[in-house]
Amino acid sequence: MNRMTRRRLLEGLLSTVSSTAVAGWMVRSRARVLARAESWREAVIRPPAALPEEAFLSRCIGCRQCGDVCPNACIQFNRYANGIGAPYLRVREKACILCMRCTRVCPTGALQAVPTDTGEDIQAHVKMGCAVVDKNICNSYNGFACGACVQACPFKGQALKALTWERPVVDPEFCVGCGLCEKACIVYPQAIRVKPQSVKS
Amino acid sequence: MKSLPKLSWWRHAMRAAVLLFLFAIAGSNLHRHYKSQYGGQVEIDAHRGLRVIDRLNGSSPHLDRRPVTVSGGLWSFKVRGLRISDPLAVLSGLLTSRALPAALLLSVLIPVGGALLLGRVFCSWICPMGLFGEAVCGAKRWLERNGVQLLNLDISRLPKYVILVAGALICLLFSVPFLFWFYPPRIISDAVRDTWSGTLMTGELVFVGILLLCELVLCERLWCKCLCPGGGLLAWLGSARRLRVRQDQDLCTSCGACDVACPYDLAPSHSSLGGECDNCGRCIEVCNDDALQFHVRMPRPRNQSLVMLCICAVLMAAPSVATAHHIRGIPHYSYQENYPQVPLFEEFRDAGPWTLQFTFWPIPTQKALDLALYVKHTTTGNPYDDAVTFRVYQHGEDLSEGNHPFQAYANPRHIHKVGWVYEEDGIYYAQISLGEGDQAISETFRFQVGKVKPNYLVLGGAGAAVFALITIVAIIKKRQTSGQVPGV
Repeated sequence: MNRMTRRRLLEGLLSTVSSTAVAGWMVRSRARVLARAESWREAVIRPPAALPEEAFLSRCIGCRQCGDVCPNACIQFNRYANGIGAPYLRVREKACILCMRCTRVCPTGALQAVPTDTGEDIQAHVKMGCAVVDKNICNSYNGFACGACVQACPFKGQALKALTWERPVVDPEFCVGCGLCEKACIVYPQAIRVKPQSVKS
Repeated sequence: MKSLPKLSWWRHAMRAAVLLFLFAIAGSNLHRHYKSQYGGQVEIDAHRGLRVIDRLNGSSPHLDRRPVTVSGGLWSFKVRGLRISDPLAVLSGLLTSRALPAALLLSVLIPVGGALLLGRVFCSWICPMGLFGEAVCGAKRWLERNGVQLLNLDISRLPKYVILVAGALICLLFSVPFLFWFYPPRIISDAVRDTWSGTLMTGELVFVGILLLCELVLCERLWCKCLCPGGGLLAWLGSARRLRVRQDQDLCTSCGACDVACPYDLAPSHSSLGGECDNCGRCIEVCNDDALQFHVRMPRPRNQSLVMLCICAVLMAAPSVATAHHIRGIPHYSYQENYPQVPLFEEFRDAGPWTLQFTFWPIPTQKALDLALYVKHTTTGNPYDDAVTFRVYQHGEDLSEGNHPFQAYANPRHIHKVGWVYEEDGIYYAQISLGEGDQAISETFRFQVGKVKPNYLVLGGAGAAVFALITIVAIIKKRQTSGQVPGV
C-alpha cells in the first residue's frame, strides 16, 4: 500500500512537471498572440481607469461583467487576440460615454473603481488614450469648417478646442481618450483617432 | 416519497434553469441597452429574440435607464451587491496578478464554504458541462443496451489534479490566464450569452464538442471524472465535507447496482467515497434496498456557529448600492443602417516610403462598397496625391479578366476613393498600384464581402448520417440478438 501511494505520488509529480513544460512551451510559442501590442496598429483601447497594460492583463480574469453593465455596450471581447478574454473598445464603432459603471463592477481591480462620474474624478483617474488629428484629411484644416469632433467631446474647450473655422486642437493633458470625437468624425477614414495609452511612442 | 420526481430530474432541471437564466439575463441586458439608446428600437424590431422580450416588457415608449442588476456568467457574477466567483477563477487571478483584491476574496467565500460543507455540488447541480456529460452518458448507455459496442476505458482520476497544478504553475510563471481558456463551464456560459449577438459556433465550443464526443466513444464522464481542473479543486476542498452518502451495511445485499450506476466509477458499496463524489445521488436512486442515504455529519457546535457567522458576515459585507444615473454625452446618432461610420475593413501596410491605409464601408441597401485608400509618407506624414489604380478580382479568378466595374469619385482631400458594385458575396483581392518607374508600388489586400457562411447543410448532414449509421447498427444488432435467443 505504501509503495502504491509512493508510486502514485511519483507519477503525479512527473506528469505535473512534464505537462507544465509542454503547456508552458505551447504558451511561449504563442507569444505572437500574447504579445503586448506596442505599436499603434495593434494596440487596443482598454475600458476607463484600467491599470497599465501589463498589470491589467494579468489582473483581468475575463468575467465580462464590465461589458454587461456598460449602458452603451461599447466594451467588446475577443477570444483569440487583444489579451484573450480581456475587454477593449473600438471607439469608431461605439465610444465610451464615461459613466464609470464598469470601473465599479470589476471584481479584480483591473479597472480601478472611480467613485463618481463627475469631470474632476474622470480627469483624475481616466486615461484610455489620447486623440490625434490628421491635418491632411481633416475637413476643417482643408477649407470645410466642420467641428463635429469638438461638439462631441465631453471636455469641450479643455481637451478638444476649436480654432478659427472649427479647426480641432487636442490638449493631451485633458484628453481622456473616450473616443467620442473619433466616433463623431464624418471623414472616411476618420481624421481624428485615439491613440491607446499602451502605445509606446 | 415515491410520487416525487427522482433527484436526478431535479438536478437536470436546476442545471437547465441555470443555462436558461444566463440566456435570459444576457437578452434582458441587451434589450435594456437598446431601449436606452436613440434609434435602438429599430434594432429591437429587427431582432427576433429582442422582439419577444420587448413584448414581454410591454413596449413602453420611454427610454429605459434602469442600471443593470445582474452581470457576469459562471466564471464570476454579481447580483446587486453580491458577488460570486468560481474558485478556479480566483485562483487563476491570484496567480497571474499576485494580488487578491477584497472584492474577489469575498466573492469566493460562498463557493468555497459550499464546497467545504457539501463537496462538489457545483458539478452535480449547476455546471452545464455536467448536464451535457450526463446526457451523453445516458445516450451511451442507451446505445450499449441496443448492442452498439463503445469503449469505456478505465482512466485514472489523477490527471485533473495534474492539470490543476500544472495550469496554476503556468498562470504563475507566464502571467497568462491559462485555466480560463479551456474551462467548459466558462466556455458554455459565455457561448450562451453570445448567442444574442449572433455568435454561435466558436473554436471553444468545438473543443467542448470534441470532449463530449470523446466521452461518448472512449470513457463516460471523461472530462468531469478525469480532466476538469475546477472539479479537482472542488474535490480537494470537499474531501472533508459534511454531506455524504452513507451506507447501511445491515440493509445492503451487495447487489452492486450502485457501483455500476456511479458516474465517476466510485464504489458506494464499499463506502470509499472521498472528495471525488459530487453527491449526485445516482447510487441512492438505484438502490433497491434503501441501504444508501444522504447523511449530514454535524460538526461540533462551536464550529457550526463559526461557519454561520462567516456566511452572515459575507452576506452583510456585500450591500448593494443602486445609483440612479444620468447618461451623459451620448451623441444622438441612431444605430440605423444609414449611419455606417464603422469601416468593415481596415488594414495598414508599409510599402516603400509610404504607409498605405486601405479601408472600405458598405453602401446601404446596395451590394456595393466604398473602397478608400489613404497614403501617407511614413516619415514626413505628407499625403500622396498622384494617380492610384484599383483592380479587384475574386478568389480563383484571373487578374487579367477581373473587370469589376468601378465608379470613380472626385478624390476628397488626399483620400483615393472608388465605389464598387459586386455581384456575389465572397473572398476578393484588391490590387492597388501607385507610383511610376522605380518608385512603382503594387500591394494586394485580401478581404471578404457579405456573408461567407459555413455550409450548415453539409455539417448537419454529416452529423445526421453518423447518427443514422449508429442507430441502424444498433437496430440490426438488436434484431440479431433477439433472433438468436430462441436458437440458443
